[in-house]
Amino acid sequence: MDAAHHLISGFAVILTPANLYYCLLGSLVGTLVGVLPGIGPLAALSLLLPVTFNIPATSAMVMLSAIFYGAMYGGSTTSILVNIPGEAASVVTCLDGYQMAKAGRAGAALGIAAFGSFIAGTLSTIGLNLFSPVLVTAALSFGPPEYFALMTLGFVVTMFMVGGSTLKAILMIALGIFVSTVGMDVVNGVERFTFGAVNLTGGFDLVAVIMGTFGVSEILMNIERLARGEVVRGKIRGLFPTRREWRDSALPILRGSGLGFALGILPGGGPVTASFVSYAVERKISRHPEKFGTGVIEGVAGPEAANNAAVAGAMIPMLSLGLPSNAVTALLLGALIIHGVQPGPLLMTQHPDIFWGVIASMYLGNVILLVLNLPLIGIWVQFLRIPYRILFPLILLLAVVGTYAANLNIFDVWVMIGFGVGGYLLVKLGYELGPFILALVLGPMFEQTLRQSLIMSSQSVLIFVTRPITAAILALCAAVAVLFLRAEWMKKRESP
Amino acid sequence: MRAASLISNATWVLLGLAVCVYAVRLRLWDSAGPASGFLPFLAGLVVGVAGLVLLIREWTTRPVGQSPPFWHDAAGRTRVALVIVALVAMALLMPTLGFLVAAFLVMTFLLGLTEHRRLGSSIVLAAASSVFIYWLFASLLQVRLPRGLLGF
Repeated sequence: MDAAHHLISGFAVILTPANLYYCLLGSLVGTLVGVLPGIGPLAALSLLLPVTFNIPATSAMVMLSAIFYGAMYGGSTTSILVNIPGEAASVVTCLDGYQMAKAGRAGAALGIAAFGSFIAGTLSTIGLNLFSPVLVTAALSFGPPEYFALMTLGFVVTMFMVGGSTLKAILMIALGIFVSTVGMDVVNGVERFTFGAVNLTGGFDLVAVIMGTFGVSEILMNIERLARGEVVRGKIRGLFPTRREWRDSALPILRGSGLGFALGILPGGGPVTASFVSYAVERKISRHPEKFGTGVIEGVAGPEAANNAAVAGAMIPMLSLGLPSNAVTALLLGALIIHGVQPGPLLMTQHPDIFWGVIASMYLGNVILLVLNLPLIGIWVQFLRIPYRILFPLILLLAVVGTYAANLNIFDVWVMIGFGVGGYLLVKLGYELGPFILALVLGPMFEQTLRQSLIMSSQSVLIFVTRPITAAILALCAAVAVLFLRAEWMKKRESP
Repeated sequence: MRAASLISNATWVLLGLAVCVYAVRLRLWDSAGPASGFLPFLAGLVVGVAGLVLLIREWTTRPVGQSPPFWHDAAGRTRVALVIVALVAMALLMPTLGFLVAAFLVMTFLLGLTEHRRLGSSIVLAAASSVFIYWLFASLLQVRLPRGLLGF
């Protein structure tokens, strides 16, 4: 009842002309970002973060969140019509979506992707609505040791959830933590790794680092291989699924919603993992698994529902605990900090307008996106025809201005270039950049909670095992590590 | 690719070592508990050790067949290099020439670089996009973008 009351107040926040405008704008930009291959939600959020500096924190969060879930809607369009994923979470949609389009069923694929996304988005927002206040209540009793343990859990799960090498993920987390320590140590005023550079006293600017690591490096990756995609020709018909298509898709959508929501909450999870797991599950339990990849509607409905549901799932630890579960929510958390809002369990009571406003905006955003995606499909298709060769200079220019605008300091542009080139080389060498950003954002809080915990216990590390919640979370870390290492060992043993 | 991996892994080892040495100088522990150097030391240690393990693995693993090339093709490598040069030029030119002129020059270069458009259309597109972004940030969002010798 209380949650319902707060939600109504959230709607009161969102149903103002300014916030409605930012929700609509975020949904539009998000869809566009999802539609355009070569720019993902992370790059778009980092590019547009400085644009939000002059608007209130609530409006900024509403817009940035809308970009996040809007990109999940838009991503399917490119996957289905061009066979190139608009963003990473739509990779699996290519498999059956494009085959459906080639068989003249583009409308059905686009329709079920949009309706599935809407249903999953709404269901998972209800979950977010109900689950977050419960978590906030529990988190209010958390002290520094519990937070330290939670962040450790986040790092441990991230290490094993990333696609590539676990060792490389560990290295990226350590690198992120190291980069986060550059600048003045706020506890005792000691400068660390600044080498006398005044510009580094405050550490590396988060916007510049994220813009470089995700924006610039993504552009460099795309410009190296200028992929060309052929847009499926012909008029797109039958956007409203038939009764049979609904029957085939209903359960995959529901399963995708549940899976996506749960995987979104998990540290290191998120829309990409959710869509892959959903596709694997649908194929596994299907009565005709051999047809997957040839254009079955379940292969579109499940993953598209899952990646949307994962967005609301990922918002739970971010809004309730102030802990991001993936790189995008890490950036959203960074946006909160930049706007002078302290994330954490007190967010709900100290800034109810942001907390409930964002949740309410997600209900509304899902409706906006359904309206935007289906009737305006023709317009999105036109955007697909803009060559990347024209788009990328514009994106680069926006990256430069966006980075400069954050502090009006040209040094930040150099930081962006440096991290952009570094990020590009790392991706080419098989490193995942998500763990790096996660560690960079969590690094200061990780250090602070570690120090506070040890001060609380007069330097005794036993504090991490004598407090029941901390001990339980750290035991979970150990269990996760053992399980994943065992799975990897078994996989290695089985492979010749 | 193998050479690039070896170089990068060796770089991690050196970076980790350098961070640890610097962190020790900052002090690792004091009367209040972990000091300024503690977390960087741990991070440097992990970077160094992980880099060393990766280096040893790469060194000792016998490559099967031809190692994949680091760059997709020579043209792609050149494009990447030129985009980086354009970014560096933008950072260098912005404080002296101002945002608008620097953006126009860099945009013209980038459009000509990959699109091989006619110079005229590249110039028109570069001018339009530079002015639009300038208007968006300087006028609409009230961001003080660098002004050059010409006053804009």
